[in-house]
Amino acid sequence: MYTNTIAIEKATDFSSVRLSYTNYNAKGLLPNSSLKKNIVMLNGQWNINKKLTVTGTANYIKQNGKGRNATGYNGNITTNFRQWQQTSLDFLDQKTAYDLTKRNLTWNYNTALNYPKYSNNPYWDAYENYETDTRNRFIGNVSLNYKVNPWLDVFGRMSADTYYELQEERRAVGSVSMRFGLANVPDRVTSGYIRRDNTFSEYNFDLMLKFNKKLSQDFSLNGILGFNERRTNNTYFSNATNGGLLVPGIYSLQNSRGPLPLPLEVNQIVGVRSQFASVSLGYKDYLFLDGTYRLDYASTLPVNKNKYQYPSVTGAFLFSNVIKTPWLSFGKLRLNYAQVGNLAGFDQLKDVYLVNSPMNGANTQLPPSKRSPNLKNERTNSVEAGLEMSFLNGRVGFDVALYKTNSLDQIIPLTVSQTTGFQNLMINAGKIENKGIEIVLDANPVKAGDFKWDVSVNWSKNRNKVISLYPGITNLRLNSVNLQGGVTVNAAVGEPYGVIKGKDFTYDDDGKIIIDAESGTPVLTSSAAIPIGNFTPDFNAGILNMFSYKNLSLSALIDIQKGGDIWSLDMYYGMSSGLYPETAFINDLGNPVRDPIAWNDPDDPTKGYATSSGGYIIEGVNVDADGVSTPNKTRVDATNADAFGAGLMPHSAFIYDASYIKLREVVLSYNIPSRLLGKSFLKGASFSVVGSNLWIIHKNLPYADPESGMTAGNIQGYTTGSLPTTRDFTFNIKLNF
Amino acid sequence: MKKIFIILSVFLAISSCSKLEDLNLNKKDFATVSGESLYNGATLQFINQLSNESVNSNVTLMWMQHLANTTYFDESRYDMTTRGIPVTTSNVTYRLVLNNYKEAAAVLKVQPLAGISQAQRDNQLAIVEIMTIFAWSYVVENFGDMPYSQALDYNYPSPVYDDALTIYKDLVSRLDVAMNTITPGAGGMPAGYDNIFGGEDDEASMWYKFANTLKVRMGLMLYDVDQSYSKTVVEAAVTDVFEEGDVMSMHYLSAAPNQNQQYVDFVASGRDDYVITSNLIDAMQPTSPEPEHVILKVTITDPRLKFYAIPVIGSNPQVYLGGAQGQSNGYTSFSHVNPIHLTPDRPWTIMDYTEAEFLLAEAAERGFSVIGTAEDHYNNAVRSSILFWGGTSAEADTYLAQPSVAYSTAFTDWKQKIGTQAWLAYWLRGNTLWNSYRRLDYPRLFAPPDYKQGINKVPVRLFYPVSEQTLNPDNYNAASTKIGGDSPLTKLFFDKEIY
Repeated sequence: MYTNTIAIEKATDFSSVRLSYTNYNAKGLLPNSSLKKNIVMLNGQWNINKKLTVTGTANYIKQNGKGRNATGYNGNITTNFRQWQQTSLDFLDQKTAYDLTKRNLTWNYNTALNYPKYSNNPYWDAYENYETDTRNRFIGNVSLNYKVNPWLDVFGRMSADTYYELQEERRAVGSVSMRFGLANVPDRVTSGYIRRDNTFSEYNFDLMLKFNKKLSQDFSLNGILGFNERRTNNTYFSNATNGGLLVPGIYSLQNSRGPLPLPLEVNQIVGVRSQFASVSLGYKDYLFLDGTYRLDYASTLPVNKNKYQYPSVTGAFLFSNVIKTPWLSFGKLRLNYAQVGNLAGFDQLKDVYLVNSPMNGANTQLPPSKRSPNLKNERTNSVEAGLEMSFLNGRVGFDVALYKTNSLDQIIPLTVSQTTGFQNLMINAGKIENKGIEIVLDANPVKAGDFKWDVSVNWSKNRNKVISLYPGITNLRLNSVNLQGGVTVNAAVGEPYGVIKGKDFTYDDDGKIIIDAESGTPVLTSSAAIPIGNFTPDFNAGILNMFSYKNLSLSALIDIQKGGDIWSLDMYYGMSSGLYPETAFINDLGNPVRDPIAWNDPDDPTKGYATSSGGYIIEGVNVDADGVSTPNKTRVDATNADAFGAGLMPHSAFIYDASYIKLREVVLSYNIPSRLLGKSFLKGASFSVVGSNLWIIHKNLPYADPESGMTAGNIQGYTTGSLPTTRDFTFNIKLNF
Repeated sequence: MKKIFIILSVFLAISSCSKLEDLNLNKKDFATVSGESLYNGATLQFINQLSNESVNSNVTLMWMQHLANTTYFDESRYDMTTRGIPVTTSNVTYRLVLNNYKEAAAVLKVQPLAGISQAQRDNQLAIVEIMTIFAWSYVVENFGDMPYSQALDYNYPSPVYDDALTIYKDLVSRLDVAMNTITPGAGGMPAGYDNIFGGEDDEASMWYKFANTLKVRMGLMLYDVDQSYSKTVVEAAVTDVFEEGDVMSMHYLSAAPNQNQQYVDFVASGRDDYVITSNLIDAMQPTSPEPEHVILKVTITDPRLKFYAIPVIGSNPQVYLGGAQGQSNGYTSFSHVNPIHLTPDRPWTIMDYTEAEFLLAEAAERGFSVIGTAEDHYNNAVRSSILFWGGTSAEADTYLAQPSVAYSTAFTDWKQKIGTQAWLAYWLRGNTLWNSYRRLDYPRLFAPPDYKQGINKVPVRLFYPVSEQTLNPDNYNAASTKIGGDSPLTKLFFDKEIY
């Protein structure tokens, strides 16, 4: 992977211009995967006269991706690696087989038909079934600033951000059958092609009057009166072949074996018109008061509720400018109250129907989501108090902030029982409270000559809680789709946010796990809604150490998370399939656990197990009909799947503490002193080496980075098939000519 | 200053140009659709759910021990939670089927098709109502108590569960109302929208006969709990059920995606997931040595065997061999489903004359007033089944003449006589098989040795959808307690026999 940037810039008394070009080229972790970017950026400013200034930027980004790895459960090779893959399989053999034949030859071949039974050759997947995506993006703006008089500016700006994106997915003829195609045509096919075209644009027009006036010796006033007009327009089109490809190797909708399904077409336009004002008042150099007010008019809300306003006010007291003592170098107290309003998404007010492929006559259905004509805007109210102080000429300092945010009327698709006839209802959710504390400590323990050591420590803790939700609903299920494995992530009214629920062991009165005496397996709860964890961490922290000596500097950042739970589908399935070393130990009798169960007398189990017996005993108790517990002595057979994970153990056995301590980043940099460059053509040069994700010093989740999580969607507390976290080293060379 | 005016005028031009709310217009999707298109979509979804045999959505053909697996045998061992079969069953039926039927009826009432008679309008509404009742009966027969009175109404985001017997009786009375509004010969859905009876000469009469046959079945389902009710309902309906040659089936298309679901799963998928069980094969041909639990001993080969199955590929001489229920079976070692059933546009049978005759035989045995004897109806049913699947009348005569099949000599218990032959006849119709099995308690089917999750008998209901535990917890808990525990072995309201 490399990034090269070259930039030229020139400034004169009345103008400046900068042109840069960046080329980014990265190979992915998997074969035949890459990401390339070419970026051209032009910035310019021209002072037409003393009063009028024109500025503009133009930024063009072309991006090409190829072979991005699928995320989540399906079609993701790391899911295989973590959950199912035979550990005896030599991937180099698979590579050789593919390279020599360019065919989908695998270890799991189907004798009768000679195609794979369950899995493609991974090199076939990489070199034949790859995706590609390209994106052409333009971001630019033009602005004019007119200085009417020394205290008043008129500023106008037009900006655009627009891109076109094409994604294509392929399944080569001869692949294993899987669901592939449009979501509403869910047939399994052995080949196919999908394309998705996405065009997006956002335009903003701003006009602002800016005031800046010192009212008197003690009072200063800044203010803005502004207008904004915003439009976003998103057009999406997608279609896929139906029933497979006719001719191998041609990835085109025209190559569909069956008639093309009805395509997916989306056109979403959103407009917002805003008027806003802000004032900053300053008294002397220590009292500051900022106020803002905004009125939005949004296209996506019902006509009688589409205008909403929201203010904010911030006060700051720089008491170090009042109390002048030698030990206090800086002191500031701030209080902030802010409201923010937000609009709904496009077309959430009226129901529309879905149209499926005709079944002779037209074939339609209600949509999964019930929209609401009564939506109102979202609001968040936040209060924050902060104290920032530093002492001893700034060598020691801290910044403490306490905050509380109430989200009111959040517009969410509330997942409901489908006995309602719908998957979710678009609602304004009641009230979700979010409060926390953030602390930053800075210190400069050593400062001697050219040597300097700085330390910065931060610590934060955050708590979310659902105060009220919706009439008749007491639990918000955060996962909108069912998660593989069957756990759920929840926020119940009155309870902390992020409760993971699933099945648990059952326990006797002494808290011992109950084991079925006949099978030797644990007796699980019938309910799959037992709280087994919570993804919210106890706290997060970071420690940054920086050392510098003359032109050389070194810094190291350590990140810490304490607590928070994560449920691992990888372990749930991997332990069941026998992938992990924990499933192949020497048992209490000194035999391989995978050996079959052996009895002294197969016809009379009371004579006990033979000394050569395999299997293992799960620690727990057998409870008889009278409720009397005796230690479990029944062995579980481990010759087949389901002896350690899914199918035997409850979800609660695969919940892990997501705590970690990581050496996140180390940076070593050196600026070549200008005297060394002398009269060469170089004006400046610097080198740096950055190492990222260097070391997970401590974690409790086996075989995976607790942060990697589920790479698709926004579900926290759940991990499946995550790509391994990469340790990255970056070498930067910066030369100024 | 002039430039400011230019900027300002640009803004004014933009700001005054549009009412923003007009932007929120969805130009791509339909704000209204026809009632018949909703009916058509819902019916397709419903029959797909009934007819597919995927381990992910409907496993009744495995539970009724017609199909055994090659690899994915967990569902044959009664693990229905890993792949979420109850969730799929409930979500499909409530959201994709019932709510769309409800919408179809509402739209048909306010926007009837132009130029049709009042009688045809009434027939269309009756068709929607009859299918709605059929879908509701499917829900209750799967789960027992479920949301009904507050269901399909977003004003009740957590609907209460209603008593299953009360729902069932309400459905029967709704069926009477719907039948009363049918005018024979007045037509039904517009061409192309009824893919069940749309091609029939008098589709309205066919719908009427289906409603009556369904009513007989529902009435018989309640015999164990309310005999007098059962008698009244059945006797009112027995006179106008499906007649010889009547087959109610879904007519699938040859082009994807609306194809026969068994074709999709067995053939289009390119997978080799199923073989036929030894239970079925052994009951259709003389077997030696005799297996432990043979369901029916025959002295001549069932004429339907060659149409149901194909011999083991490459066997010489050709043999039919079934795989073991609940175990992993080699695909090439056992008999497969005959490919004649597995073509894209193969119609799938929902209900037929054969089933009507088995139901009448059962009604006669219950002592209800029915024209003809139980034996007549039994013989008609078996003969109809053999002819339907491709056998000849002579083959049917020979088959019926053997002592283990002939009504007078077959088994001592009439339930076993009818139950066994019904089990042989309802080929590829998992839910019909399961209903018949739970009602008659025959043939006796046993759990495979490696059953899962303590479910040591053939399930008699589905678990409640697990999503209800987090999305509708209070009502779920109340209903679980009321029905006697959320277990697949909890006998439902109609199921009183202890076995």
